[in-house]
Parts: sequence; C-alpha cells; structure tokens
Amino acid sequence: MKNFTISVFIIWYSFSYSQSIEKDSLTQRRIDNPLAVQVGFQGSIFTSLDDNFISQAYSQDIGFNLAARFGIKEFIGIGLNYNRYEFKLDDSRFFGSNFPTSRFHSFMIFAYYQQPIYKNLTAELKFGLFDSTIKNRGTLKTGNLKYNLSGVVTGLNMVCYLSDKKVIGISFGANVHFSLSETIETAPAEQNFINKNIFSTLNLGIVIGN
Amino acid sequence: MKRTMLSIILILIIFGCTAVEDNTVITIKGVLIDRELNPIQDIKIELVSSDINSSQELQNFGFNLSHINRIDVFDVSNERGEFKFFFPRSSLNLALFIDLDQGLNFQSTELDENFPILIVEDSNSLDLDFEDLILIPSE
Repeated sequence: MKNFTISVFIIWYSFSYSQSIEKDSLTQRRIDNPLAVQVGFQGSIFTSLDDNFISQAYSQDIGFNLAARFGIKEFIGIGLNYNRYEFKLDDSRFFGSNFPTSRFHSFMIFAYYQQPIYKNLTAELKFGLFDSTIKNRGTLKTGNLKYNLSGVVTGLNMVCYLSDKKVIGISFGANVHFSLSETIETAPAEQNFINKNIFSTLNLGIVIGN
Repeated sequence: MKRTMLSIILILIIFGCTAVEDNTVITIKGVLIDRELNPIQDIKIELVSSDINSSQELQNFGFNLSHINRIDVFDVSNERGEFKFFFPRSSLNLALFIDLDQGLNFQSTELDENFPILIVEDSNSLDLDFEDLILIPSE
C-alpha cells in the first residue's frame, strides 16, 4: 500500500510538473487550461471533536497529509487525500501494554468547489467519503487490532498562491470526519461510543499545480 | 523469475492469512461493594492475563502472584463503585486482580474461599458485566 501511494504521488507530481513547464512557456492563465492537476504535501494535526473511543483511548499526534486534485474546470473537481498519524494509548482502561504502538491512516475521496477570494487567495469547500484504519500493533500472543472506521467528510481549504501563475501555493485546511460505520464488533450498549467518532484534521503545507 | 515472484506472493498470502487480527472491543465492567452492599470507591482494579483459566483450578491450586501477567489495563472504582475496561477478544485467559496491598479480596459466591483474583471465564462475550462484586478484607 505504501509503495502504491508513493508511486501515485510520483506520477501525479511528474504530470503536474510537465504541465507547469508548458504553461510557463505559453504564459497562459490557469483558467485557460481545462484540466487542472494539483498535488499537496502537508503537515497535519489530528484532533477529536467528541468524547468517544478515539478521544478517550488515544493521545493524538501530528502526522502528514497528501492530497491530489483533478479539476474538471478551474473551480470544480475531484480529489484524493491520504492522512497518516502515529497514536499512543492514553488511558489505562484500554488495551494496555500488549499493544505498544498504533497507526492511524485514512483515505478520502472528495468533490470540491474553489472560489478566488482576493488576488492569489483561493478558498475551497469539499465534501466526500473517507475510510480509516487504526492499526494497533500487538505482541505475538495477542496479534494486531485493526479497527476500520468510515463515513463522510467535509472541509474547507485556503490556498495562497505565491505568484499570479498559481503554480505553487501555501495551503491551510481543516477537514471534519464523521464516522458512521458499525464495523468494530462491540457490545450493543457501546456501539455508538466505539464506532461513532467525530474528528478533524488540520493541514498546513504546500500545493503544486499547473 | 516468474517462479520467484510466485513464491514471494504465496509466502505473503500465507503470512497474511496467519496474522492474528482482531476487530472486537469487549467491555468488562462491574461494581465493587462491601458485605453491607455499600459501593467501595478508589480501589485500583486490574485486568490481567492468567495461567489459570477456571475457578475450579484456582480453588485446587490456590493463588500465587506468578499466575498473573500484568498487561497494564486498570481502572479505579468511582463513587458508585463502578469500573470498566475495554479489551479485544484475544486469545489470553483474562482475570480481574486487586493488588494485595489494598487489603481486599474477591469473595466467591460459589466457592467458600476468597482470592485477589477473579477468573474471567467467558471472554468471548462482547459485554461482560460482573454486576456486584463483593470485596472482603484479606487476612
């Protein structure tokens, strides 16, 4: 999966790079290009927004975020997003020392709408679906715990481009994830506590596009 | 080359299949009370894994600290005497344990003895509610 993600990232990056050169030579405005491709690489902070399983069991941490956007025109399109964080158990009532490390990763596919606000500043609104996994690495005796969460996501992203050509920009965004799945087997009384979680990811980094 | 690739894929499949993965979260809870049925607050109660897997074995062989393996899952009973743990449905033999220096033991309703350990005999259930657990001073 890791290799796949890296290959996809490289392909998108090289594609967007070649597009940039072409655009520079013709000094076109971005709106003239019917297909906009943009990749983003951002540092990311994970925060729980409710008092359920994820917020009680884990201490949340910083991680990273990779994003790719394919614009059908300049202002609308679809995007893909990948987030990854390392979690630590933070409450003695959960799982304990048999599960020393945990990793959270999340894929998301979204539709977006971009609106220029002021000069090189653009705001983006997005809606999509996500699929996340918390993998708790266990000792040999206990095996791993793998918890899947999926649901809907919405977010707002601001990009400040560093030039009028809109090739490189600084991006700041927040996504809110609403987990709606019931994939973790648990007692009926705990179903909502364990499976229904709301969390946000705050991402800050760069975007490169054509 | 093809054969090497095939062997690698087969090995990956076999390892993938044998990896133990668990997507359960079982709840283990109860209420600590004294003989007068009053809740007991501020007692540290631990979930441990144990060599012993039935109350009968506990009665026959008695309790020894070497029977338990601490897994660092614990709670402190609240003002209503309640405690709660969350654990996967794993292959471990689970037990509840009260540290000896707290001077309390679980009183067994079936056996005429008391021990600082209480064997969890049905960790396959998703919801293990021990309800009222009577604690008595240990001698």
